[in-house]
Amino acid sequence: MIFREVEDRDLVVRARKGSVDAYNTLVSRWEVRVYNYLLRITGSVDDAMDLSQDAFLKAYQNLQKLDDAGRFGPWLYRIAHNEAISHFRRRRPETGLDEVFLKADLSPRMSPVEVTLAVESALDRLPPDQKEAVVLKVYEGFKFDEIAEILECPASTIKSRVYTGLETLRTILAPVAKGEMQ
Amino acid sequence: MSCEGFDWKAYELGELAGADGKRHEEHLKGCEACQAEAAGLKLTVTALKRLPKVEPPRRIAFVSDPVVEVGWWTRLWASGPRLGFASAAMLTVAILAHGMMARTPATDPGQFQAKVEQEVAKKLPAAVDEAVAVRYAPAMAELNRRLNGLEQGGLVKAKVELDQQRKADMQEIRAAFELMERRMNTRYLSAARFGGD
Repeated sequence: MIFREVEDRDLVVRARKGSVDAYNTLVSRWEVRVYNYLLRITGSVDDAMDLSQDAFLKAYQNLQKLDDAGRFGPWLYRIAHNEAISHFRRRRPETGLDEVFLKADLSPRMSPVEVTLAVESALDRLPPDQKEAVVLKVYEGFKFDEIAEILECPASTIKSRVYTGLETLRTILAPVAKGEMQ
Repeated sequence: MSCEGFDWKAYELGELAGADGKRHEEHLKGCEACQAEAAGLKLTVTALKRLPKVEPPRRIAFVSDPVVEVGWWTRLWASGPRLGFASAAMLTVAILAHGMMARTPATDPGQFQAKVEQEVAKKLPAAVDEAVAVRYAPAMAELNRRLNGLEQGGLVKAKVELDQQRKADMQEIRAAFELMERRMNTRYLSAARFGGD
């Protein structure tokens, strides 16, 4: 992680000086993670793709505003988060929490696909702020301080969201967890 | 019910490190309640991590792709012409700096005039003597020739002719001196204008 941070810093410095190749390397390095993050909080492949594209473009246009070149990752996620928020605000009239997967059968013996569906549906039952905090913690591996930086709120708030979300998920996924044990 | 003073969520989420992490590990070995709590959380996190990482359906458009157009100034600044422009600017500055530093300070016109007059006064007498000697040599030869002739012809007529010739020679010499003085002044002025002494 530290090695990657050093490399990111170098690439950001070069990109700031006009190296398009350096920025393209940053895109290659982060695109899958940012796409998955956006996919998990939007639940739409098309939206996640469009928002990822917008996030990388906005990051490129604002690269000079990044205070610490070594903090490219959290900064990029903050841009992606803001893009997602803008997206939700634009589409608020027609979207809410997706209930499609809430009826998933949580039987003890589940196939990998069924586990995936169960987890997706469980995540979708969380309030958006808890869901995003859990996604950034569990899937993206950020520390509480980093998530606080990305979502621009206190670390204590992030910790509370993650813990509450994790308790809810433990209850919902209990049958899945039992199946995993068997 | 787990024990107080232990944060098993933070422990399972990898937030604890160092001494705090070791304290949790040690406690876990001998506390069944905390073991159950930690195990339940671990299973939940494991189940969550079963969600596979998904590849994007297409790659993110790179900055170099046509869809992401960079401004003309950014393109210009990041290209070869930037180097050319910078080189030309540096060369211009170097030339100007050299010209400013190598240029002799402007001479005061009064000082310069005095210097010219001093040089003229120093060199003119010698030049005049030399010119007189050159110009008078043929005249003296002619005079001697005519004096010899007077011994054989009319003395008065010879004297008149001699006076006329002498006046003409003197006018010619004077004109030559004036011309020489003007040329020397011109030469000093030219030399001073191009940075010489």
